[in-house]
Amino acid sequence: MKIFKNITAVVIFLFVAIVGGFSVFSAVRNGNFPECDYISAMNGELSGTLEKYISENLVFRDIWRSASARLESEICESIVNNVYVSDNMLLNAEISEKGFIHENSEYINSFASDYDGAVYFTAVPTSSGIYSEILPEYLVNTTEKQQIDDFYEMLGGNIRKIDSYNILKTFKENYIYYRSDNRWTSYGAFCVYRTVIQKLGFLPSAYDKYTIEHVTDSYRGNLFSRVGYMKSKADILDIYTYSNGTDILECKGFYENGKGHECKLYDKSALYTENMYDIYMNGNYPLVKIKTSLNNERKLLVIKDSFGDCFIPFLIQHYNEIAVVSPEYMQCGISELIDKDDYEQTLFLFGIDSIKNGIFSELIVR
Amino acid sequence: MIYSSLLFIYIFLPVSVVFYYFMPRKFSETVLLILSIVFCALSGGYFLILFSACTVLNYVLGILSGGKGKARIIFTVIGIILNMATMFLIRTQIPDTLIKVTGIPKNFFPLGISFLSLSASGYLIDVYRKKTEPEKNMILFGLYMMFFPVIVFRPLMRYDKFRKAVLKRKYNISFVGKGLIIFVKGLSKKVICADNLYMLYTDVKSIGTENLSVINAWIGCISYIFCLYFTFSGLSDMCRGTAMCFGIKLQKDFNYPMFSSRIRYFSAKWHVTAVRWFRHHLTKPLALCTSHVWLRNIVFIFAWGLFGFWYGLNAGSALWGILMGISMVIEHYIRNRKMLKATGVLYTSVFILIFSVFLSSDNVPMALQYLFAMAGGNRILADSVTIYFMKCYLVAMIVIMYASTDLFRNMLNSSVRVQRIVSAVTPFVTLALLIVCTAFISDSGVSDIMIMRL
Repeated sequence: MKIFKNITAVVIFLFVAIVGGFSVFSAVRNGNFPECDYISAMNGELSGTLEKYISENLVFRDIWRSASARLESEICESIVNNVYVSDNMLLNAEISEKGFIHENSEYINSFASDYDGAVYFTAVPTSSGIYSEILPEYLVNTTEKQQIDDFYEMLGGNIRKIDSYNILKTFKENYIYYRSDNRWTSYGAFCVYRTVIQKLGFLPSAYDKYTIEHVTDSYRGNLFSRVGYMKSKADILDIYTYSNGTDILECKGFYENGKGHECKLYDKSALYTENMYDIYMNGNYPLVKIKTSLNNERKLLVIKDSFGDCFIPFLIQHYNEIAVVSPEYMQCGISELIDKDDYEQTLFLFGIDSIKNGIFSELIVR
Repeated sequence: MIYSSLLFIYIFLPVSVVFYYFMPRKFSETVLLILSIVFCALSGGYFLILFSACTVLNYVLGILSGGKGKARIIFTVIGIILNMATMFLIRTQIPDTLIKVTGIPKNFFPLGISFLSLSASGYLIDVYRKKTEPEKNMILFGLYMMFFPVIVFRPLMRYDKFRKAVLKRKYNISFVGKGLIIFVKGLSKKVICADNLYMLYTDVKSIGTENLSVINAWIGCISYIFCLYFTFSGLSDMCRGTAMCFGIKLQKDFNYPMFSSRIRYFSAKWHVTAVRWFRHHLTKPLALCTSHVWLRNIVFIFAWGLFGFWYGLNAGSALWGILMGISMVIEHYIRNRKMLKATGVLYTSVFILIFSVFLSSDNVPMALQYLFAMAGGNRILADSVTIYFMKCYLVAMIVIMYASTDLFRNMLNSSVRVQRIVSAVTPFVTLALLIVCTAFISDSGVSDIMIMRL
């Protein structure tokens, strides 16, 4: 049967040569070679970088990855890269641990203790928290509700805690979470906004006052980028505009050096980039200052993670000035960006996953 | 670099095969050594330094222990101690001072170091006992230590056998074909079977021993031992296949051990060359010192304990080896009982599974707790998670278990007609498997999950 072995050699070699050759070719054309320095070459990280680089430049990468996710769910569990692929949506399936919950509650407490105004906290569950019944049971050993409750328990009595879990749970039949992302949709944010704004002392705007524009129906979120499963449904991104309402006079993003850059709450140009989610508060600024035409002299400080991006626009109708601080982009302490005592109210808005993984650090108390 | 990565399959392997066959034949050993050095360098500078240092050291010590005079035993002993100490330090805890002086990262782990030190020690012992000539040819000895197809999971061959295999290599395209078939077979074992079983194993582990139902505990245990088998035999196949691409035939390490009808048969088919290494260098010489049967039995059990210890470097894995040894001794004495014949496969599998709990746990108390769960100590027979596991994995498990037996191979050998049909579709099956494996590793570019790092 020698002839068949020869055929095998030729067939496999041709295939390997074609795939390998084209991948190298596309890698050379893209040109973004991985960096190689002495240390990474010595301790062996180089081969890891090269493997990653080749997989990024593999020909038909999307098809390979999609096929792999499909095969995975056929052969065994539908969990790819710790993402659970269900019929309707993708859910994060990382086994949840308490992580930095305790440390972070200490930071918030010490923030509140040397702050004159009122502090509000909203911890938002991710899609795996709201739709946990879809996940296989062994993954849900502590629910996100439990984690949020534990976290709230650790916060001091001077911090007003706003429950978003139960609100979102009652709306769970609606489109409140993206199918391919673990974050909430604008509608999910709106549902929570109605409660939050009441606690902050205002009457919520009615839903029908908003004009809603579907800017895209092909958004693929952060869970999709981990799975690459093409058959999963894409998502819709919405823009909410309040007709005849308060106008934004000025919206500026600041880096540490203090120079302001013009920015937008909704930046449609991000639709043509890799990460469409950037249409909400584009620009990775540690601080964004928004001034509105409303003359009520009310000022709000919002400290948030990416859950806040689509939430901020709803607050515009109630405040004269809003400062938005994103700890994930901060390099220095908060006092170098802003004097927090200028603001009589502070709202913390974080996904429970960032609280667990420690995205907001001691920088907010420095 | 590991064999189950895109970098190796699509770039390193084809380039090196082409390079090898286009170079003049008289240089081909040098070419192989150069390729191996490139392979080590890609795995990291420290990796290359470590492996070349070991090679040079053992080369010199080999010549010294093969020399004349009484001092040669000292060199042999020094060599063995150095090799073992290197392995032990790297696999357990690299001392902080060494990290500071050399700058190696804290989690430095050159895959294959355990095999390297065993085969180097074996070589020194053989040279001392005059079973093999000390190698003077630096290139051939360099290949024995650093030949890239054998770095990650090498068959622990005697030096003279390896040398013979290298010198008698064939230049033939059908060898490349056969090598690629074996390689893809090994790749599929690793990527399709072992990685998915590993997922099931970690799922069960994440439940926590105190909440484990009986069936889940058994599922976890079964997935562990099969995952271990498929990881090891997959790596071993990839290594043999790659070597075959260069016309070099290496020994087989796994010979369908699962579902054996005696524990003894299992142990004779599991990691053959490593078990043989321990027998050659430990059991036999020690057993010759005594004529008492019970002492020989103790030596036998001790050697198995050391083999287990070599696997995991902890008390649990040593206990696994000791239990294997004891069970084989007991089996030897009751081998004629009818009970054994009637329950062959069943009792062997049950014992292998129970022992494997010790191999998988970090320490003995945890293993005992797990065994308690397997025996029904948590008073849950099955729960909804069991149903979920069954739904997801039952078909895969059955297929994987079938693939671990020799039933398919026996069917092939049953008639010439079947053989002809199968070899005609082999090219396409191999290609299909390669495509599936590529899909599985396309995301990260590598499948480097190791259930046990040696």
